[in-house]
Amino acid sequence: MSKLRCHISISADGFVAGPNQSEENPLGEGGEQLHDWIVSLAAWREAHDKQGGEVNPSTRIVEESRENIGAGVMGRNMFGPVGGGDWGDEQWKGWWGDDPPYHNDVFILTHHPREPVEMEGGTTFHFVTDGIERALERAKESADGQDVRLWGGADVINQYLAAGLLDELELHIVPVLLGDGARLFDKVGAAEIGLEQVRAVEAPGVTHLKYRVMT
Amino acid sequence: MAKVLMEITMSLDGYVTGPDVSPSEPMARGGEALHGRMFAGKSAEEINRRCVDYDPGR
Repeated sequence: MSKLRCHISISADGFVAGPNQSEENPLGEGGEQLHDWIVSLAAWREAHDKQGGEVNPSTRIVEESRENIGAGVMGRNMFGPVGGGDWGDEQWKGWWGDDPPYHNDVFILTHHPREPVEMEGGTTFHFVTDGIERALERAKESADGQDVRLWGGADVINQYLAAGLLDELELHIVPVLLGDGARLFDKVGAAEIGLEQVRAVEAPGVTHLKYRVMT
Repeated sequence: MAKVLMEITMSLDGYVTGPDVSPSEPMARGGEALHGRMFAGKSAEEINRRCVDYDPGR
């Protein structure tokens, strides 16, 4: 059975991006620190055409997060550009260059319709205007039995969590305080959501906590 | 040199008690769940004793 899985870096005070996101600071002020642990890994560097890097207990976590993923879902704010709105001249194709690191269909939740954008390396961005359920349905069709990765940001993760549609949540907790920004679990409420601990892994500069979402 | 230490139970969304703290619900709505495992099946006296005696190094 195809699952919806989310693996995301988060500050110790609960933010997945810092305040004041901008073109120069896509992750907000201080937000880049959330990814220090991953960009130093050989496993991440290889996937992004970079040399060298470390192997440590985070390596297995990163590899596992990529396994059995057939499609993705992403919020408009994460796709960009900062500020949202209509697509204008349609020149914006995400933050990740001509060959984005997804290599499958990624369904972008937006209020503004747009034709799909096919990138190099197997990534196609599809724009979904009829809600989170439909986006997940289309992603699962595309994944054809494999799992769907929920990329973020905080707002869409909160929406899927509140709707009871998220199956697995892995938090990479980074020992930094951002003070403000995009807060995970905001407005999710207690709802009827239960979390079951799957595992905890300690690694340099990060602690990985994995949960199964019970609804 | 003496250090200042802090250790506390917190929910995944960052709360150390629930909403609406009151004398009858000192941990507030839902807050008891934070201590569920530690205090499960214990009397009020036992819980108080454990809170006061709790030594994280032990």
